[in-house]
Order: sequence, then structure tokens, then C-alpha cells
Amino acid sequence: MQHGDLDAVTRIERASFPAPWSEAQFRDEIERQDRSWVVAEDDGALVGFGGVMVVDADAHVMDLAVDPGYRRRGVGRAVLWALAERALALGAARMTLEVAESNRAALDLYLSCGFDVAGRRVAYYPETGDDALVLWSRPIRSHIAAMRAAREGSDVVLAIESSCDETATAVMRGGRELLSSVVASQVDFHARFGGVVPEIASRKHTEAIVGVVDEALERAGVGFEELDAIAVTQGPGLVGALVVGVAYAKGLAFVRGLPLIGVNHLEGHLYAARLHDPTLEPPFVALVVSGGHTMLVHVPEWGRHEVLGRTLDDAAGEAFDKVAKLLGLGYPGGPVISRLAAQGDPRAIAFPRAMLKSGNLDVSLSGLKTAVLQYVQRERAAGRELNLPDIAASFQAAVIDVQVAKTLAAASERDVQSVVLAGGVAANAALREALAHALGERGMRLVVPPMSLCTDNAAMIAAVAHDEIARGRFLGLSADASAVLHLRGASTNI
Amino acid sequence: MRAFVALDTATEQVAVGVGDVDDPSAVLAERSFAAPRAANEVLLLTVEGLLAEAGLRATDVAAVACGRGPGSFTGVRIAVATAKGMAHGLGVPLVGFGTSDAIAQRASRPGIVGVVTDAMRGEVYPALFEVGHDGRVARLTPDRVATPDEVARGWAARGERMLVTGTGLAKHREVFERVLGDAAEFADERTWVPDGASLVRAAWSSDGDGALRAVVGLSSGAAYAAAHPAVLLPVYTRLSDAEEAERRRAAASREPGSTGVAGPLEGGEAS
Repeated sequence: MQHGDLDAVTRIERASFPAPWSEAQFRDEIERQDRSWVVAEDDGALVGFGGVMVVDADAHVMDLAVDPGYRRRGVGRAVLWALAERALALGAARMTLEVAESNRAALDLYLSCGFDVAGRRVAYYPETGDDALVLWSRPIRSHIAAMRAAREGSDVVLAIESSCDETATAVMRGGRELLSSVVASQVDFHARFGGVVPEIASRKHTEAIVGVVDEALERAGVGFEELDAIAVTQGPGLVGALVVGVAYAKGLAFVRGLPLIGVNHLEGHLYAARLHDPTLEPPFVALVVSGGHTMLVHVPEWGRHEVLGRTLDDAAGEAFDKVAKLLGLGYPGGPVISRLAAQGDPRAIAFPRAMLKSGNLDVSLSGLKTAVLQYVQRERAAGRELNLPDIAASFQAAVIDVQVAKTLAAASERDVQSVVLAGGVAANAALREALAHALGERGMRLVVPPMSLCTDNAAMIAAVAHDEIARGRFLGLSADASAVLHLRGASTNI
Repeated sequence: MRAFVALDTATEQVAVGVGDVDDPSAVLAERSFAAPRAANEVLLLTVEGLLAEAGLRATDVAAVACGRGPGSFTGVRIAVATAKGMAHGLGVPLVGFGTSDAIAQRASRPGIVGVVTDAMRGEVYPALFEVGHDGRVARLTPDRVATPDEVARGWAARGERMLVTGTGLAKHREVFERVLGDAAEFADERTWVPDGASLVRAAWSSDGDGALRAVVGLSSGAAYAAAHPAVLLPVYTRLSDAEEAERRRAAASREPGSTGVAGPLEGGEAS
């Protein structure tokens, strides 16, 4: 900050706070040796600023404000990390600040940079009566080092995924170079129950996690000391399962002094496509279909998402499991129905195509499952033997028809040339073929990652984490798992 | 200074203690507070604060000790998974102790102590201990899950006076009052949950190959191998609901096979 900046700084300050600093106060700050001020500019215009005061090893963020016209565009985050670099140079190890509890945007920014709430000062702001929350950062040095490494493409990240029934770990360099990927599947423990039992999943993650991390490190030829960051799936998923991964990752990050990144599992599925095809660039539409999720997402750029449609009830994988169960075919249902369907006639039984003409991009699968059940009951009551291949093929065709139609509608609505198919159900050959054929007819490209990247894995979590590190987005030690975690929207501060 | 951190979140209490691996009598720092459904949010910040209070860094931690339950399944796993991450990252041994042991450590006088932790569904996790005149706490019964009435009758049959404590009293005190009568004294409600100091004592009082007492004298490599963070598991005493239902269905016709899920089924020490 220089004398020439004072007008703009004072203007932004007045637009930001009920009790703003005066121009004279800012002028006094410029010459002080224990302070450091930074400004953010766009095309020569000052759009944000911040100041930090260093006392011993603590850097107190005194002020941080962004021009109202530039908010939610990453300016505040850039200013904060620039202040962290200055603070580090002045000998600080951690940053601290007070923020009004009612200032939700500022609080969200600091929490998403890995700050934790450490205390509260009641009625700290006399002009509003607001409480101040006292926040502390995680160690500055390791976070700045990780950001630099990520921007250079040399960051080494250990990622942990435990959102459902697979304990997965991976080590990745630079967001694209996969050094190892390990998946400990629990499918055998859940099979006899016809679906994932959340409590068993949580127990198995607890048993497996240390060994699976050791194996990923060993295969990568990397030790804890070579890691730049720890990434973990924070949600969505089975909360008890997620908690195991998050608690372990936090314990590990804490003792190693490493940054921690919380990753949205669904975003991981989108990044799996980029791992498979590095030329894939937004904008694109993705159909994410798995045992737990079924949704259509528009990705205008990496890190921003617009959910266009989702299942109103069962996920696609769940529908396959339930139909397999009622047909006595075992678990998981996807592979066995897919195998049987290959020998059956998809037009044999006219199962309903729910919501095909709904006018929106949502889907519903529970009615289809009920229709299969009623058909089976009618056939049995009539004493006829079930033609399992025909039932499987007809059920599968009903699912695929709706998914393909909705995906095409989404792609043309958003005018994209690329479509990503992701999630465990992408293993279904008939779905892949139908989607590829329909898109090919319209000159669109389909990207389908290989099976190892479609099913739950930690490589995709590491890939997201690399971008998150470069953006300066981290978790603090107070972070928790979240069963429902929404993809970051298109208008969110990146 | 070679410190160890002891943590427990099996009850609604978050408890953390910092001990000294070279001095079993030392409690360097401790804190405990109620944090229902918030253990994962507050546990590590509490650990960090206590280490700072004791003038220690994470790298001064030579061992991690963790309450294994029984208690809330998710609660137990929060402490166990956090402790695994810490011990694994530091390359130090991870040792376990029973949550009930830590509660028994808070007994105010020598004699028999009965701990009943709330197990929900009208049941409790009972365990009996004997507190010596020197303050040593010896476990008399393994962890299990049972109805308060069954537990109270079993304890009454011993014909001994006892101090009854634990979170199970919040809902079931009347059963123990009725069945045990004058034989029972009831602990102050504030001592029904562990605190930081009782975790440190429970960690020292545990025995076995992978216990704190067994590993402190070993070289760091041998100690890590003897109490590797991969090995420690929670004590549940109950199966998942799905397995319980399966066992009930199977009970009439055949013996159930292996459940594939760790932990004792009922009674017996955890593997």
C-alpha cells in the first residue's frame, strides 16, 4: 500500500464496515515496520486490500476488504494468502484475526482457508453490538509451500476416501501424475445383506485405514516427510464412514503440520474424467451415476458447478441393487443385471420411463423398481417361470433410455460439446454404448474414465485437492464430515 | 520431555490428557467438557491447546493412548481414528484402554466400583473394577452389553458393597437403587464420564503386550511395532443391526459363522 492508494482503500473500507478506519489511520500504517499491507488490483484499479501486524510468531490480520463489485471472485482469498506470505517473511508462524459473527461471507472465506474458531468476544463491536469470533490459521509455512508446489505442478498429495464401502488411498504428484492408488473393498462383507450396511462400513474403514495408507505410500515410494498436503473426502456419503477418514486425516495432518484439504466426493468423480483424458476442459455436462448418487452437472469451469437434475428417490446403482435383490440375483446388482441383460430382449417388457416428459432434468427410479416388482408378482401368480434375461434387459433399457434422454437435453440446454459419464454405474456397457451412440449422432464427445477411476477411489480425490491447494482452499482442525455436501455452485468464490 | 496424549470420545464428553512416558504419576495438562455430537470438531483443537499449554509440540509426543469404548459407536471411532492418524503420522505407538476403566479411575474411594455406560435401547455397558487402597484400579469383568436389570441382579448376587457410576445411571439409576438397595452407593454425576487425568491413569493401568506400560521401555522402533496404530480397534460389544438381525434369524437353526467384523460379540476380551 502506498500513499496513492489511500483514496481507494478508504472508499472500499467505508463500503465494507460499519465503523471504518479513517484515511489518516491508513496513512499512519504505511511507515510502520511491524506491519505489512497488500493491495489487489484489476487493470490498474485497486479492488481489495489487507493489512497484517506481526508480534513474535503471531500475525494479526488487522483489516481485509474487497470492493463490493469484486466480491465472490477470489480477491479476498488472494489478499489473505498474500498477507500470509508477508507475515511469514516477518517471522510469523500463524495468523489470527477477529471477524463479526454476522459477517458470513468473511467467516466463510476464513474457514475455507483453514482457519478455526478459537474463541468469542461478546459485543466486541460497539457500533453494532456484534460478537467477534477469534480465528486462528493453521501453520502458514506449510500452506504457502503447498500452494507454491501446486502452482508449479510439483505438489505431492496423499488422499483418503472413505465415503461408502471402499477404503481408498492414493498419492499423486502435480494433480495428474498418479504415484499409487489403493482400494480396499468391503463388498464381500456387505454382499449377504443385499446392500451397504453403514455400521459395518464404518468399522471396516477403522480397521483398514492405516494399512491402506501405508500401502499407498510404499507403492509410491514416498514417506510422510515428502508430502505437501493431506486430502480427504469430506462428503457426501455415509456420515459414519466419512467420519473415520476425516478424523484420521485430521490427526495425520495435525502431527505432520501439513495442510488438509476437504474434497467433495462428487467433484472427485468429475475429476476422474480429467485424469483419464487430460485434454478434457470445461464447459461440459457430466452424468454422475453410482450406488449413492445420480445427477446431471454442468461444469462451466473446474471448481464451479451447476446441478441441472438429480434423482428424486433412488440412485441408479441403488435401483440395480434393489431389482437384483427382488430377483434373487445377489449383490451388487449392477454387474449381474448387466450380464443377464446382454442375453435378454430389452423390448420384451414395457417398463415405464418415468419423468421422460417431465420437462425438467430430474429422474425418478423408485416407480420403475415397483413396476418390476409388480411384474414379477403377476408372473409368479400366473405360474409362469420368470425370464430373468428379459426382465433384466427391459429394466436396464428403461433406466438407460431416461438417463440418455436427460443427458442429451442437458447437453443441448447448456450448449456443450463434451459429456462426461462418471461413477460406478458407468461400468454398465449398455449405458456407455447408448450414450456414446446418441452423442456421436450429434457430434458430441463422450468421456468415460476406465473402471478403476469410475468406482470409488482416492486418485480422483487427490486430483481435486491439487486444484484446491492452488486456489488456497483448506480445512481447519475443526472440520467435520458431512453426509450432505453440495457441490460448489457457479457463483461461489473460487 | 517425552509426552503421551490420551483421548476419549466414547461418551458425550470429550476428554484429553497429556502424560509423561517417564513418569506414571504426571498429568501435564488435561481438559474435558461435554460436546454432544461435536467431538470430531473439537477434539484436535483441544489436543493442540493442551500441548501448547504444556509447552510441547506435536513432535514431542512419544505415544498416543486412546479410549476404545464401549460407548457410542461413532464417538469411539472419532477418538480411535484421530489417534490412529496422530500415531501413524508420528511413527509412535498407539495404545488403548477401556473407557469404563477411565471412568473407574475417577472413583472417590477404594472398593468395588461398577461402571454402567449408557448403551441406548434400554441397555448398558457394564464393567466391574476393584480400586485398591493404593489407588490402583483392577478390572474384574470384561466389557459386554446387557439390560440394567440383568446387570444389577448379577452385581447384587456378589453380596458386596459397591460404588456405582457411569452415564447409564442417567436413565437407569432407579433399577440399581431398587435391586442393589443399601449395597450401592452412587457416584457424583460429575464423575460419570472420564476426565483427562483419568485417561492418563487408565493408559498406565492397562496391561498386555501393546499397553503403555509394556512399550515405554522399548526402543522407538520396537515400541511402534509392538503397538502399531493399525492394530488398535474399538470395543463395540454389539454387532451392527444387520448382523444382529441375521444372528437372530440364524439362532434357531444353526450356529452363526464368523461375522467378519472385529470386536467381541458379547463378553470376552476384544481381539
